[in-house]
Amino acid sequence: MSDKRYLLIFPAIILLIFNSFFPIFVVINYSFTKPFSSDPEFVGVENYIDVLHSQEWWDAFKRNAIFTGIILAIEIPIGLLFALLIRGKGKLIGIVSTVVILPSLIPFVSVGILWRLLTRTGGPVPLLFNFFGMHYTLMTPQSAFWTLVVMDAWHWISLVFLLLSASLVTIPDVYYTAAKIDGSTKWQTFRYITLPGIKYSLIMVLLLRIIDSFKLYDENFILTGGGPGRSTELLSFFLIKKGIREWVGGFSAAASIIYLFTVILLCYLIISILTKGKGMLER
Amino acid sequence: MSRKETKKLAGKVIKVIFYLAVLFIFLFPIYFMAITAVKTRSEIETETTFFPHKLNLKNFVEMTKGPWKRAIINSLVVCITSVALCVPVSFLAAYAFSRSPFMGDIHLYFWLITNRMAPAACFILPFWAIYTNIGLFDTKLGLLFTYTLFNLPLAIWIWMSFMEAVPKEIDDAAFLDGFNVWRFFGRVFIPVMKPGIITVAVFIWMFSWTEMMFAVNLTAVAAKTLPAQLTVTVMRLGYGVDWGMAAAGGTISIIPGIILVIFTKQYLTRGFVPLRRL
Amino acid sequence: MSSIELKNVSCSYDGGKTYALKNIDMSMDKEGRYSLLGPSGCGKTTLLKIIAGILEYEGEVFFNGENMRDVPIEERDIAMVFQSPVVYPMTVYDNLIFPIRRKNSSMKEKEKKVQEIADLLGLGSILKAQAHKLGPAEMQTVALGRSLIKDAKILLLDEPLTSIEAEKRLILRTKIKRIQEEEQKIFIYVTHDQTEALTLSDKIAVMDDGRIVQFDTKERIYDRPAHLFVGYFMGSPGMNILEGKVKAGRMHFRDFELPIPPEYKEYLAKHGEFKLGMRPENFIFSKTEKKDFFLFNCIDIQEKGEGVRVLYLKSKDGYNELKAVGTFADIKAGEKVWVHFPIEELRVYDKKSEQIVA
Repeated sequence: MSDKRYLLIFPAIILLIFNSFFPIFVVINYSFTKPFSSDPEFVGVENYIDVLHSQEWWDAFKRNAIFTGIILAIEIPIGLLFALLIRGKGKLIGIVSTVVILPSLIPFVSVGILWRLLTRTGGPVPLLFNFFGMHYTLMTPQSAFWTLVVMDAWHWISLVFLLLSASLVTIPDVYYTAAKIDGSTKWQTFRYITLPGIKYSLIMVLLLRIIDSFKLYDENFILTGGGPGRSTELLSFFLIKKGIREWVGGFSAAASIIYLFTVILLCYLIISILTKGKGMLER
Repeated sequence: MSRKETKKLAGKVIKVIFYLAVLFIFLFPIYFMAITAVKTRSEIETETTFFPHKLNLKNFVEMTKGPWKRAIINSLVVCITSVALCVPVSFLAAYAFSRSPFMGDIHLYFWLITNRMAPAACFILPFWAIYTNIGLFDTKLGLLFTYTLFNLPLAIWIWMSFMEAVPKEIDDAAFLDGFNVWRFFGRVFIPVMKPGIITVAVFIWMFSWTEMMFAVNLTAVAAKTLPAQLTVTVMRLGYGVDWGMAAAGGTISIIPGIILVIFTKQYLTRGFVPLRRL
Repeated sequence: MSSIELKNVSCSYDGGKTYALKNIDMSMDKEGRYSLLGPSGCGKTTLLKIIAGILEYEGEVFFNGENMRDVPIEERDIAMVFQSPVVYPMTVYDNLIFPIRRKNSSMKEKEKKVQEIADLLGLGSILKAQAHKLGPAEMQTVALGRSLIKDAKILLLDEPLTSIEAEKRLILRTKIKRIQEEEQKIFIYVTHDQTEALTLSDKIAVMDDGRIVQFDTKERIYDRPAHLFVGYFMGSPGMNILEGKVKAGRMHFRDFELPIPPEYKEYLAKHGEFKLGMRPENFIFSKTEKKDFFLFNCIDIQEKGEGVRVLYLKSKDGYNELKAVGTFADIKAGEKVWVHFPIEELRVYDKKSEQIVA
């Protein structure tokens, strides 16, 4: 039998040529011109030079990198802690784990609305701060940034929890029994049994959170709109603002390309490390 | 009571307190939004209350009318068509990847996965430009196409793990018995893959239901989905935001998530199994 | 001297609807080699887990006379080797020293202990290797070594050879045997493989459906199965079972008859029907007709290896079937043979309960 089953891939390929190749081609084309003008002319790498010289771009990039670092430092340990503590049988545990997963299924806009309701002047969060004799407002760069961080943690600890809990149950019970018999301390059990057992999921969730935090847009848009000033303007927000709202298509396109290929390179590196260079398809 | 039992009991109490704290942290914001939706506008504007003075269902009644009704219907249509399109297409592609090696398959697969990882913001500008030119701007069809860019790679990725768990000998046996590919799918493979169908469908649904960036930037009026409509409501300047309405829309937008997490929790975790190996 | 005693132990996985263990009474009153033998699902691993303290149970468990109900697993004087090899992701040396790292003794003593165990198990050459990257047989050897290091008085082995490649199983079995010779412990070996049970234990508890059917020395288990299940489960092929009736002071099997062995006379005087068990190794054959030999047709012969063959026999009129094990170089399939049943090898069982008649 001559194996022609690979032909089944064509519907997907056709859709993705329309959806992926074509748009990327358009962006690349834009990035070398001044689009949306009456006479789009070829300007070479001028747009790229503009991006790399743009303080706004580097600010957004730096801000996003700091944001990513902070949310990783918060979400991964807490998510792991939740996964370790919220497991086993029992009704309460079932309810708690369901509720912890829930935020990852809420539309991003709604998360933004939730948090704007909470942090509105006179809302529950300012009230809580007042109770402790402090003052809270979304109007300072500092507090806006940290509110964004807390909101992201509230939203995405769910994902870390989901992935790591799913991975924890794959560690056979006999390992824990053996550790008990061997008189292992709690830390040793964690270090030598739990951690190696969830290693891949941990790297995976790290990768996902890095990529997703560089893609963050919706909640950013709803909660702070990038402000006050540009203090919470992250990369995606910056790109869309430039492209659609400020109408500087060439600049935005060039920035998109730089951004896109940085992420692809990052993916490639991490995937190579994860699969130890074996590639992604195992046969 | 012995010291051991006291210690055990104390541990239990601490655990329960921890669970209740977690429940509070994750449920309170949702609760607060839900009660805001049933408050009157003056109650929302003047004070912060944790129990509404008077039950006001006006906001939810609004949801069944005009732009809100259209937005909810649009969202449902886009989600259902996304599932209907992506489940079979991704199924076929994943089957090809997992069973039938061909030249360059690894590169193609990698390209697929990076599409999922790629920042959506990079695609906004070209999609916007293309769609305004070919008349797909502000249409549900346009959104459906856009979403496949992200749905297909994710779906193929999830399918792969389900398919790799099934030995290839099943295929060979069926083909030796004279089945063609389609009969093999119908009689043997799809029945085996039922849990996979649910998992993939849930993930496609959730992505399409929660997506907002494309929905806001690639629509104007007619094709606005619920997240886009919510964005418009919250971002309206000048008149001041109608928070009651926003909260009502937000509450409705959470309902599918609640239903899915309750009924398909085990499938949600299975969707991430492929991530273990990538 | 160590001892383990189980009193009326039961265990249910579904809150009392069905029981995986039913009213087990068992006593291992001194150091020695014991095994729990039975088909899968018989409750042998459950019983082992209760002794280890992993499972909740009803009834009482005593170690050296002390009730173990509230003693957590880490405070019991046990070590355990599991079906799937459990090693920690560190070097073989670190794995071996892991259980005694926090013990109050000098580093030198600990190192000496590790060296001893490594020598005993032939791990000396791979002490520096990463344990989790070894093959299953080596990993299991490391796990075995780790279970020995802290000198626990009870060593539980839960089918340790099942997940090992066939060609390495024998090597590991020999190592376990050597340990049993060197160390004074209670060894409890769980297995479904009778050869393992026979080589690695002195006393065997044969289990079926949550009960201990017989707990006795391996010789008596083989020679005098207390229950037809034991007779049939042990040996390959298992015990021959014939249904018979008592007529005129003799045992009738429709187309042949045997005298009643003296020890069963009393029982068979009261009961008309019974079952007869006989090991396939114990028949005597003749190619010609003799007194007390009965005519059988040899239907089929299968080689068991090393010259040993299994004969499938049918009695004269086809009412009874037998299997016999031996060399039988001169018997061919399709031939007639005359078979003698040595009276001292006959075991009589109650027809209904299938218990041996004492």
